[in-house]
Amino acid sequence: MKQYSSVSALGSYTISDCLIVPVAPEAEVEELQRLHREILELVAETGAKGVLVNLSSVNILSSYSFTTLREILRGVSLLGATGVLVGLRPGVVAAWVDRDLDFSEMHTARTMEDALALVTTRREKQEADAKQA
Amino acid sequence: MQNRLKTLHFELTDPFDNVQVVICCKRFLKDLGFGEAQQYLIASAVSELSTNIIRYAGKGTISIGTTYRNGTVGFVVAARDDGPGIPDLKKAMAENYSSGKGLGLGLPSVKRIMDEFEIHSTPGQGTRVTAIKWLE
Amino acid sequence: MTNYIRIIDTDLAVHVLEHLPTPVMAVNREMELVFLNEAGLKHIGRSWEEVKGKPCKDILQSRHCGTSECKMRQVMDGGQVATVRNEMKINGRTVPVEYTAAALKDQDGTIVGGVEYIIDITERVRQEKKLQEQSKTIREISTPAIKLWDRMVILPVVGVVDSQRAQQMMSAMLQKIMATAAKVIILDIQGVAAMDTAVANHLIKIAKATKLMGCRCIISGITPAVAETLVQLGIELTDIDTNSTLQDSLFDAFSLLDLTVTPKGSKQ
Ligand SMILES: Nc1ncnc2c1ncn2[C@@H]1O[C@H](COP(=O)(O)OP(=O)(O)O)[C@@H](O)[C@H]1O
Ligand SMILES: [Mg+2]
Repeated sequence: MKQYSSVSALGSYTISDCLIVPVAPEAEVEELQRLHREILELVAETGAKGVLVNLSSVNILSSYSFTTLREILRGVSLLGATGVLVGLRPGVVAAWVDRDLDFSEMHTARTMEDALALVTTRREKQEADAKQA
Repeated sequence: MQNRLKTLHFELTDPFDNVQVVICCKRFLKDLGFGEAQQYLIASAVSELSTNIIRYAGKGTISIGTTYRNGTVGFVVAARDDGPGIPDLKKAMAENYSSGKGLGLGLPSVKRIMDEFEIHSTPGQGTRVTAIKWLE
Repeated sequence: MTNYIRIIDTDLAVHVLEHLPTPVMAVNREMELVFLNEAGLKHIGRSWEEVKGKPCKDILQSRHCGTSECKMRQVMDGGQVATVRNEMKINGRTVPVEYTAAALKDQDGTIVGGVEYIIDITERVRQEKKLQEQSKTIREISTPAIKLWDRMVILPVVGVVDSQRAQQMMSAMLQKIMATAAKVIILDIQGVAAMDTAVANHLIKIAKATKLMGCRCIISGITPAVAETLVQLGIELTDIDTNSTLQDSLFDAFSLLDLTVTPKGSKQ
């Protein structure tokens, strides 16, 4: 079922209506900001229903990176899609929790499969809600 | 002499000294006749005071004992330290105020849990808290 | 019948003090010994003739002697009666003691000296040390994160949660979630000795971290006592699934994994 579409310069691709965005191990905030613009453009262009940001190889993410990632998820949500942070590593998680950042409205998943399932569930729910309305 | 015998005294210097305080406190409360839920609740309040000492003053003491009034027995805890003291007690006693990374709910909840609560603090000299819970 | 309401005669008072089974000592304003009872003399192994009128610091050789910590000095300078811990050299051995000092006043209320009694607290200190050792042992028992099922991890928390312990729990939990790609974790707090706001805060943080890992957190062992305490502390565990028993938590964990437990042979 894998349908690779317009692979961007940053190596993102889509699987079943979801845009998969791999983030490089040493990604700094500037790179995430570049990703931010690119992701939103791609979602608008392709009508992707989900954006899975794969952070499983990133060991360090600063508070600025956190803010950018949150903005990405917000933007994605405004475009009617679901953004998910996938595979966050223990070191990153411990640092974020320690800094008392607010991640109450962020979607997260351990694996790509979990993330895809999450997007599907949310989409089905949205569609059911839409039908009711 | 009876009272004196029924007093336990803990010197706190290390975060882990709180283990002793909590465990001894629960046993003490049980011997006094407090029910299980009350033991847990009061020990938690005492733990709050010892955590504050370790966190903000570095070291100090917790004493627990019994007190009597009008034929009723009570559990009394005294927390004392010679730490930095609290510059604004009103603020410290308010919900959600923490000068550190705490939730800022400690002192107000100790006051709520215990029947009697007294706090004295002098900046640069230290803090003394005494609280009593009567056995119903 | 004895008449209780009378002024105790001096001889009797001295007799009583002499036979108290713990050292009692009195000094004049110059801090010279004017009285030391039998127990005191026995402690230092000297006769009254040998020590009479000598500076008390030469006799007692305690850690406070000659320093500003000396309570005897403080009460003579108008301080409150006080009981403090100290250490004394007795026959070359350092002994932990507790002493209480009070000012001695004449009829006019003028301070003429001080009196103190000393209690050997070797046994008490030994007990305290033992307790301390025991708690150190508890500290070294780290909290394990155990894989209970495919994608299910349990973290049983026992004893007291201080910040060091919480950190250890946090990292054990994070590593295990990572290693097993856990989808649900049960934090069993049944064995936690007390729930103060610091402990609650640690638990909330662990639950938050779990969520970031993309894993669901179920807190088990919220007994009525724990629930009542949390309410009194003003803490709400919003966004966290909680259960009273481990059995209920397990049930929920299986549901989250889309699994059901059914008796063998039942039709499903
Ligand atoms: N023993 C103490 N010595 C100095 N400051 C203290 C002490 N206990 C409490 N405080 C001050 O009072 C504040 C409120 O305490 P508390 O209600 O226990 O909340 P928290 O510990 O979460 O900050 C603390 O942040 C600290 O500034
Ligand atoms: Mg506190």
